[in-house]
Amino acid sequence: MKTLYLLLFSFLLIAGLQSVRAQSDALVTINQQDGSMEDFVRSLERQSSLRFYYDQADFDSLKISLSATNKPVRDVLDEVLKPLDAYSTFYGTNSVFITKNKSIVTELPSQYLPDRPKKEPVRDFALADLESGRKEAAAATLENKVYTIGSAAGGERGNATLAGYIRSAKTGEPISGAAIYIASPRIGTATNQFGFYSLTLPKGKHELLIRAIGVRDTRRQVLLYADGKLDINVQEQLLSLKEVVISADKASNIRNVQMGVEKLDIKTIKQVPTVFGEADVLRVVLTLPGVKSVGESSTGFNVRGGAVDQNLILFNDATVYNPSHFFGFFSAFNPEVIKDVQLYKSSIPAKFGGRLSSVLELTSREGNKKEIAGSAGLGLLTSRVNVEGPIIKDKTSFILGGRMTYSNWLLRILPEKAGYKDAKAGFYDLNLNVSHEQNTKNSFYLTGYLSNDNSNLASDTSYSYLNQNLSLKWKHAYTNKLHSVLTTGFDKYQYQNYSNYQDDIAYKLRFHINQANFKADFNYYLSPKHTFDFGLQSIYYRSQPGNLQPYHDRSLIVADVIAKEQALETAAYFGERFDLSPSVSFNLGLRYSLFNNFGPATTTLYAAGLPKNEGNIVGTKTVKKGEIAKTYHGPEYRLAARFALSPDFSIKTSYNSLRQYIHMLSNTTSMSPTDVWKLSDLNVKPQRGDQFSLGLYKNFKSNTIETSVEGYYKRLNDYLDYKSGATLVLNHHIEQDVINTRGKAYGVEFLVKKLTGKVNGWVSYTYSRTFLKTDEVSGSESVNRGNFYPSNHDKPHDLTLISNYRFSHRYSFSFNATYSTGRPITLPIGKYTYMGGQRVLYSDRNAYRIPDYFRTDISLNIEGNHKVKQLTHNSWTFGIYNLTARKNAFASYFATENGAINGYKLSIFGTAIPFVNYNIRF
Amino acid sequence: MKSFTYVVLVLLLSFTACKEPFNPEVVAGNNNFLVVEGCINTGGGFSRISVSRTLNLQESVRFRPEGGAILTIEGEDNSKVEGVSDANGQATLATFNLNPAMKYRLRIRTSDGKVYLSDFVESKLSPAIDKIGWKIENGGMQIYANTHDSANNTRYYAWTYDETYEVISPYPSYIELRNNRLVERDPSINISRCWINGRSSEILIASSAKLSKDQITESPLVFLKGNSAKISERYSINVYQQALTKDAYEYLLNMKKNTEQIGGIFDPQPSEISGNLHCVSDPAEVVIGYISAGSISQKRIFITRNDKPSGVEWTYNQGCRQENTARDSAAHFANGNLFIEEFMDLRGFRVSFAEAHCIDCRLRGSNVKPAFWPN
Repeated sequence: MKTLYLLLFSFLLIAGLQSVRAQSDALVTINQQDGSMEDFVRSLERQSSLRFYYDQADFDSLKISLSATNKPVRDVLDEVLKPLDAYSTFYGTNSVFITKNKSIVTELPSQYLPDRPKKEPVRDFALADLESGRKEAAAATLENKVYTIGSAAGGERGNATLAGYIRSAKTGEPISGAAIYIASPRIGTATNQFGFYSLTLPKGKHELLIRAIGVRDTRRQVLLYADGKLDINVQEQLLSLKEVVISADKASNIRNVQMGVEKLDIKTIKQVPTVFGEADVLRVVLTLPGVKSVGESSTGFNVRGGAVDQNLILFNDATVYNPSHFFGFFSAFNPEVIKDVQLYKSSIPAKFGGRLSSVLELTSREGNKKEIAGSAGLGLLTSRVNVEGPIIKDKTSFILGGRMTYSNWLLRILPEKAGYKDAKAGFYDLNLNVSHEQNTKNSFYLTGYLSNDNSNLASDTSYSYLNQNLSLKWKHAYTNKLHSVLTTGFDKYQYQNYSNYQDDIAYKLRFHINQANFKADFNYYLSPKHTFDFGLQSIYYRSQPGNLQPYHDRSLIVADVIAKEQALETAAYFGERFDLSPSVSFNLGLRYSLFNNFGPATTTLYAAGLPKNEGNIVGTKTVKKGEIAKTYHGPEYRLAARFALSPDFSIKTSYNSLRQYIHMLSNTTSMSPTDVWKLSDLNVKPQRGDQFSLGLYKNFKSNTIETSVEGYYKRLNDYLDYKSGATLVLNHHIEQDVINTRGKAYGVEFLVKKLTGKVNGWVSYTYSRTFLKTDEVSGSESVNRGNFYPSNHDKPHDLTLISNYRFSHRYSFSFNATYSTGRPITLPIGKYTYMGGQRVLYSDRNAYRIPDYFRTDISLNIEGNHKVKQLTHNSWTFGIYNLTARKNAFASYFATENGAINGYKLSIFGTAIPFVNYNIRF
Repeated sequence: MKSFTYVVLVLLLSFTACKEPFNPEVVAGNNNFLVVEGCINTGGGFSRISVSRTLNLQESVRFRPEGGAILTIEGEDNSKVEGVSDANGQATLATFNLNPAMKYRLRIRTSDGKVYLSDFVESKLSPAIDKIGWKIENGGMQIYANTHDSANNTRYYAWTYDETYEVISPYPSYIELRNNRLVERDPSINISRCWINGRSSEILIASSAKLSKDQITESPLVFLKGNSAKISERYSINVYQQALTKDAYEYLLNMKKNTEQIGGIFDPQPSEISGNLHCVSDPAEVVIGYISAGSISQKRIFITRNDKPSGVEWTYNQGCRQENTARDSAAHFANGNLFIEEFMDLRGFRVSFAEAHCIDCRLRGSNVKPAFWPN
């Protein structure tokens, strides 16, 4: 009230300021000890013509001690008032107002004085700022500076558009998904994947607020006169750890049309304890609802009842066929290079195809664009190093990561009597990513990936396999509305298993599959309501399904080579995202895929309508090189709809159909290092599947707690299962050993997720079933009399808790618990004598289960101190895997001992396994 | 640091070693399914059908016969032939007048009152066995069967066989220990020449379905090692050939595959396919076996030691050694040994002896010469 009074007062007395200036320079001499404010003011009034106005209550307890000789009044006042947070305002010819906490503005803002010419000082201020802005290379880094966009000459009414990039001030990496907005009126947008934003605001002064993951909340003052560009460099969030894993788009699970999409960033992945403390990308994916595996050492995973070969694993758009190291104990992805992992298990965008169950998209980080940096980690079994940095500062960067095991070396120093003399475990993987930003419209990305294994487990056979991937990507923006990504790449998976244990039978068994990819993907933003994506994709496959050769001259092995296969898979797709209203959105996609199996090929022909076996061969068909041996094609529908009932509650539904033309042949329970991939041909039909799903999504506590329930029903056609005693390796007539089955899978998945706060993590529960069925009800092409039977990975109940508690910025504690029903197995249940011999009676296929699975793990993560200036940053992880030391069964087998058949179960990690891991960043 | 490393290694390597007994309820449970094996003989002879029960895996018995079951072969024309299984689970039915053009089925009423019924099966007449031959390979004799059907109608074949071989004890015996006294052995009791019988225990099947002619050439039946007792003197094999329907063939093929491997993690998945017998009162009850109908052809051959090539790997050695001791001490060596003869040397009265199986061939087979045996 008092302030208002003073303001009104000053309003009435608007007059020349110049005369006051002289008075404020008047010299005074003051010498006072513990005097009151009143004494001080009187003394000043005596020595000048000034009159002081102040509120006595503000200064009544004040004691002033001052000694000044011939000093200007202004300086004396400043000396006294500044420590008190008080201000003096000279006004008119001889008035001085002393106020506490606030100073008095004696001039109205220009808006209120339309006729009055602008005052020079204001003009000076604006110009000066513009200049200092230029000196700072156009990137706005300061919060309190006013950045002027355009010139005031353009008028001050209407709107103007501000655009630019938000980047990390430290590394220069673009910040995607950052929210940039003004508070009132609330106008905002988010940056795209390249960190670009475009925001249309009323002209005038604004405070832009910027929020993003891993970034300190910040603001920029902008004086917006016209359209312009403002790049913003932001500080990474280092201290307030709870912000780190906030999703850029907090309510995305509610608003996104897609369902069944799970995204994990590497920070979340790293805090989940795993065996031996190696952060393991795929192991964490296994904790998500709807994702299962047959056992803990198998990296192959099953999504919503699909087979392990029905997952498309893309590492920066390169297809990885075998994502595991050392018989599946580790996943083949270096956690230091991965940025995030996204799993599509329900609505799969039209741009993906070729596998029935899911798409697992792994994205690597871009290298640091500002400076060379790196990290190194020491684990019990592997160590890893990665280096990143600019090649051309702010434009081109690289990241190079490598990981290697040294357990091979360790195995060799074992005492000979341990019996593991010849066992070896050798693997490594290498990643290289180069990203180059040519200009705002063109960016290039190069990814190279190599993983190599050469291991055996003290057996006669050594298994070596290799993934090689190379992809090159060009992102181009034609206009602000049309973008394209052209990708080309080459992927290879091969194995060479060999045994040189005994001269006579020493052999090499080789397999390889190569694929060359080309993809052109386009995005077109017609309007905020309509977004289109469309494209053309092509994969040329070439595989050698099996090649057995003698290991050396002394071997008696007869070479056996299965004819090479080649095929071209082409697909065109078109998708539209259509917002009917803010609450109702659709994703409509259509993909048409065409698969041509090319010659040279000789295919066996079988009598129509009869089982494919030796007895029904009617001839062969030979096609020459380049001719088409068989064509399959068909449409795939990708439909999804979202109904947002409130900002934090939505219902989504989707229908997807997919086709798969390439099959992994495996009739073992687990993915094994001899599994080969087979292309569809005249006798092996493509697999087809479709899925209907429905989900409810609700967020609580301002989107910090996400909950969802998703149900699905899935059908699979021409899913491959195998006859009893099928031979899959080096089989020239593989079609005689496979059975086409129909599958159905259904389930419901519950998820509660909290990724912020001191306590974070998720709990998921899944009830799901998967069944297969043969068309034949009797004979060798039937299983369980043609009834539905559970598939190998049918584990109805699955409960997983992943949690992390942060004591402080340096200490956090992680706890995992997982329970699932044991996987189905076929057991021998009895014996009998038939045709003179002892026979074993098996149960129906998969009629029984191994014991339920339960495991808990803990780990303690210790970050080094947070001093910014130190040579290296260190962190430690200590933990125990399988804390309860439960002997979870992985497999069972039966052996005849003294005429009785006894059962045994094997567990792989049948004890509590402590681990320690040390990481350095530099 | 080094010892720490070892701890880690032991952990790593203990993956393969963590093995525990696993006996799920079902495996330990009492399973008692009916097993029926046999063929309805439409070729004018007895039909021999075996009825038994399945056993638990841990039981040490191999065979549990189902005695007292009433078996009836029923024709589509309501003709009936009845028989009862004996204590060994074997039933022999006098099926002399069955019509090969007719379909037959088997009805079984077990002693617990349950009724089992097979599907009607068509009769498949077995063509004659062209040849049971043998060839020398891998240090032994591979015995095989040749057959054909010029009508190209049979296609699926199964064989079983009985084998008999003669053994001769390496040492004659003139004396025996009776009431702690060495007395002369009765020479009328043959203990030096015996005949041992065996049966096929593998599932022997073959198909000519992939061939342009219905002809089976050299389908393996049994392999005799060169140094086997079986061909030490004279060996005889009597092969029974049966023609199968495709379903019966596949049933046996699956059974054969299931027996060859027992399910481990990297083994293929086993599976059962059902036969053609069902429990009438409980269709879900598992019944094992496939009843076929048809004629059975048979052929017998002999192989003698003269057919063997010479060489050490073709020489049978029973592993016998003759020893001797003072006659007074004979009783001390009576356990497991038999005595050959008395003699005298510088040490006094001695008695020679050898292990019982080297002297009394009845421990290995029968001392009654089979009727079909030459000389």
